[in-house]
Amino acid sequence: MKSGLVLILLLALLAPFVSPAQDSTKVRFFVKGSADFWITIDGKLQPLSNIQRITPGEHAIEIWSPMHLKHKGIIDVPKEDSVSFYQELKQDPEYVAYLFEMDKYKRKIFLGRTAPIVVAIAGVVTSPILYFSRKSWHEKTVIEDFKYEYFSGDASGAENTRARYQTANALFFTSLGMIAGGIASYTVLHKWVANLEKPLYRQENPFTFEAFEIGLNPTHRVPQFGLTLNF
Amino acid sequence: MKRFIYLLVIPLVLVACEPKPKACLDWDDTLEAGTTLTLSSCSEDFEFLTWEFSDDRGYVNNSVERIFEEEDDMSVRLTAYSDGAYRSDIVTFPYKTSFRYIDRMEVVGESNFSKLELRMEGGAWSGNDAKGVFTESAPYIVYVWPTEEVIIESRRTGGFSVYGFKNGSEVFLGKASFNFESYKENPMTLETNTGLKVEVYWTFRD
Repeated sequence: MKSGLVLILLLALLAPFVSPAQDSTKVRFFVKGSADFWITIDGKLQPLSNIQRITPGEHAIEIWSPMHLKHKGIIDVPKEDSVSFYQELKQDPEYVAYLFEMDKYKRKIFLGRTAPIVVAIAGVVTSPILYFSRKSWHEKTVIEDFKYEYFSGDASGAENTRARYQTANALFFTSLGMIAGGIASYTVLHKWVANLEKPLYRQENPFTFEAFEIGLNPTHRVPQFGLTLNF
Repeated sequence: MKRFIYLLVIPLVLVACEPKPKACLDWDDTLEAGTTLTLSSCSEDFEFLTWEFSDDRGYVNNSVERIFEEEDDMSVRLTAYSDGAYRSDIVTFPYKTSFRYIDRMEVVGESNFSKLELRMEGGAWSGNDAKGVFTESAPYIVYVWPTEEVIIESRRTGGFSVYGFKNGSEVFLGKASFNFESYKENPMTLETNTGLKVEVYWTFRD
């Protein structure tokens, strides 16, 4: 009786180290698509993992990944410890169209809002610096003109100073123009930008029937994922 | 939007608030010729000044050092510029340049000389009877100008001497020496060894 109990206990302790029977093959999936992908084998949804245990033989397989088309095929699983299965998924044409639309949308946002603001701010930042530069060169111009009139017959110093003043003057008024232009553009284009329709890409998981959306975060203007759960 | 407009307006307000310079000259009508003068102005709120003299000389400075070699009717145009030289103010000031000339000698005190004589490089000048008591209100006077034009040479050290005459002989009463480049007092004074107070006045040409 006692020896029987010891044997059972010994078997129980050794059980984890004993290999299971070879009734399934470990299949490691390499899917070129998004980070996540869903798999059905013979119509049955598998757990979310790139390693699946599949019984050897031919099976109907479906693979889907967000922003890609569902792949339908046959997988022939050999009777081995583990095998690899590679599948490249085709990108959803609607998603490609969405990316193009998003590029266009971003370009319009840049031209209608970002660029005018950047130009105006650049003008605001540079105009005080250029104002003092212009002032300094004007003072030098007046002094050099005076010196040319009374002290020396060489006009090159006065001409050089005048040229630099004209440059400083042009830069200063350009910076003012940037402020005015930026504000005017922003004002004129503000409503047009506000009415721009932001592109949206919507897709449904063919296995779980969960829908998700990719849009643009209205505040940060970055793509965002949304998940709509259908119960 | 309003913030942008404020940022645009602030520099314009700052420019408008900059004070306008004021050009000012408060010189005498006549400036001494033949000596180095430091000419300054009473201008306000300026960054720099330009000076344009009628003898076609120009200067950029807060004050000007120059010598007028000749006697003349002249003028100066002073321009005061603000910081950046966008604003300016001009004043034109007419003036004369003249050498300093010995005008007269005045003596106060009790004298028993028949006459008193002023001597300088360039001549000697004496007055009438010098016997008596001479006061501030009624001094003993020896005139030099305008009969004779005796220039005080500012570039050299000089002075004057006073002599008294008694019984046909001259008596030395005192001597004063000055550096005329720096000494500009009018009158120049001397206390003689007999207690007479001597004042020698100078004048500009009118």
